[in-house]
Amino acid sequence: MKELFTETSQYRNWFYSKEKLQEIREKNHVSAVERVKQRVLEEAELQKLVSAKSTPTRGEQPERVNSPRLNPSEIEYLKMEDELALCNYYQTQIPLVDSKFPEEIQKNKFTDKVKASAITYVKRFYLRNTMMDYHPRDIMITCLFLAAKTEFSFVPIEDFIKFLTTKATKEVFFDLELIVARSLRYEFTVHHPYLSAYGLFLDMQTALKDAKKIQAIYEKSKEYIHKSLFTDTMFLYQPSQIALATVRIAAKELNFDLNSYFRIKFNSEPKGKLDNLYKILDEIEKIIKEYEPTPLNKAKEIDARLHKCKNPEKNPNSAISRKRKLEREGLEDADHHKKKRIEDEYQKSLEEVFK
Amino acid sequence: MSSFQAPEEEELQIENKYLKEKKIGEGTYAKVYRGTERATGRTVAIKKIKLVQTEIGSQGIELSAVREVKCLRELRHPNVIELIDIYSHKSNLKLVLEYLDSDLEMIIKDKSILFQAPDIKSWMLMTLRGLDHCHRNWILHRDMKPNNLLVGKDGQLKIADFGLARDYGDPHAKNMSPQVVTRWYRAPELFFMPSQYGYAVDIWSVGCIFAELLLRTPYLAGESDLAQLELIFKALGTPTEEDWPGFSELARDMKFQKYSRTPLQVHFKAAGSDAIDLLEKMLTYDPNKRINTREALLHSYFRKLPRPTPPDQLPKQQKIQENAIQQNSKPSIQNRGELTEHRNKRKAQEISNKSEKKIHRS
Ligand SMILES: Nc1ncnc2c1ncn2[C@@H]1O[C@H](COP(=O)(O)OP(=O)(O)OP(=O)(O)O)[C@@H](O)[C@H]1O
Ligand SMILES: [Mg+2]
Repeated sequence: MKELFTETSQYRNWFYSKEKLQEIREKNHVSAVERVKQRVLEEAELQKLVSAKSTPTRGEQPERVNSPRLNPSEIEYLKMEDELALCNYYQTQIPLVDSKFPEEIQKNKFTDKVKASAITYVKRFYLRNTMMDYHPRDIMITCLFLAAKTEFSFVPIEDFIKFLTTKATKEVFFDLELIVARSLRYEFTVHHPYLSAYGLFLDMQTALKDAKKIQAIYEKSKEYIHKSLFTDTMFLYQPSQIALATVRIAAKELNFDLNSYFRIKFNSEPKGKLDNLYKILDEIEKIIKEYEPTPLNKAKEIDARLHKCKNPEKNPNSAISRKRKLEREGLEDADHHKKKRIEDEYQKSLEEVFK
Repeated sequence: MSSFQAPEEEELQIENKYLKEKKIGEGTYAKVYRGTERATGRTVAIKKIKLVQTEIGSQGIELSAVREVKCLRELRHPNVIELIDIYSHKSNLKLVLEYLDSDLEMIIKDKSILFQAPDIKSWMLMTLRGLDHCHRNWILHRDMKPNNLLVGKDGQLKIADFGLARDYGDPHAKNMSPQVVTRWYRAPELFFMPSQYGYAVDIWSVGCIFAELLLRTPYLAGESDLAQLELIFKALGTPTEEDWPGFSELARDMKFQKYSRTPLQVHFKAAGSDAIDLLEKMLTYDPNKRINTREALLHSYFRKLPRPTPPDQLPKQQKIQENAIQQNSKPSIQNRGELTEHRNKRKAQEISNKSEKKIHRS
């Protein structure tokens, strides 16, 4: 299993050192703020132009996005920590969102694996995107919709709209689905610790006697796996290592000594390797134990600030979006003309052959 | 590659790497175009996923596409088709695949091609190697058949068409769909155990392909599900409780004529004893006793002489080669057309098999 992990897309593209992960987030954040700032300025210029012209007829007036009273240079953009905290909040909503669906869907469709993949998708998405472009609430729903598909538990988009009372239409979610898929580089396979934990459970059953206790440890370890999903462990450690760590935490909590089992299991491993493994398990344990969910009031406070610094380009009613749309249509027109010209020339060349 | 590039930019770059040329085929959920990688001149196949309207309206990215992309993104093996790139353009998903101009079905059907035991061994070896890689990565193909085994100019065989594939290995997976695998290649358990099956279904299909290579005609070509079972039982004997523990329980609502088993050698006269033994192990009724890819690859059939033909020396289709040579002059399109027509006819025959292929299977 270990060698196989290095063959996965998870290992190739979504597995980092702590430093690298931090660097990715910082660079993503810096470039996001820079870009959004530019768009906000551009929007302000466009808005000025519009209002400078004679009063336009109603309906043509672009919606004032963000707060009109705010001077663009005074806008406070989200900090990296803000985005992380908000991401933390919304990912914890995924298991709660699940509870809004009828029991039958909850039980048969939104399995642990679906929810774990959805959470992973949200986290991976925001390694490459910013909330100032895409609001986490919509992204969270999109990720759950997509994860249900990728984990073969398909739930129609209409159900999401019905049970989650969201304002977004299904077309919005379909657009977002492609945006999410692209951000994930279409790498939908995620390896979670659940399977490894189950393997450990079976292995422990054969190696140790106390079947009841082992069952209890397994159940408890799953709770810690749920919790680990909210942390960065998925980017830093292999699923099998996380599984081992959660089983160890669970055993400790239930006063069960796993040392003898570990000795049987790893007795052929060289000491250096084993020491390293224990170090890793300690690190994982620390991250999981130190995890704190973002409290609702803090999430609300960040969300309020987010509403003041959203990228106007992503609002279809902003002046900048209207301008982009016109530009795009112009391009498509030109493209169409170009194609037509090439086709005409081709036809002409054909005719010439027969002259 | 820098990881800090915005996703849209990255994707635009990918899109610009390729030049889309003419349409070369169409499947249930995709149109396939020939294309070129600008930088290298390499020919590629660009599979444009259609936006399928299902009975409940559009549901975003097509489910088969999700399946195919999910699997192919993980698999890298000389005997599995390479998914080179993916991009979306105006809400259409495009898969850039390596270009392969032939498949095993065309080769089997083309009676102007002669092939011999070492050739068959070579195709079987490549098929099993590719499948072993899938299974090692917890992926079930679920649609193994000659048409989905593509063959390149260099003779390499590659498993393609992962539209039905799914990952397996979930110990609690129960809701597997029974409507998989084109009927002729469908394992017997799929007719009885609607929602629980495993890697063994792919092995059965490979067994059927093996038989088809030996016979040069589909081995068990049933016209309905029931007829398919009859055919299987006629060919291999109606399973007894000993062949397949639990069978009588599974089949309790159905009555089958009791056929006795004729040794495979009778039907496959030209095949050597190792080949027969491997075939028998692949077409074993009890899925738990059926050989797996690892064991099959270690089977004496592959170790004993004759050695498998090296891929580049395998028999090829004449037509395709002519076609490749003519590619620059215009009339060749006609040839392609003929070829596609031939396939389409064959497809029509199979359509009834496939009519169950619906969108909302999980
Ligand atoms: N990699 C490829 N190289 C060259 N041609 C290809 C390639 N992939 C597909 N094609 C061509 O495009 C056609 C359609 O392919 P696709 O895989 O979408 O559907 P299919 O396998 O024919 O049918 P179905 O969707 O019912 O399984 C094929 O029949 C083949 O002619
Ligand atoms: Mg096919």
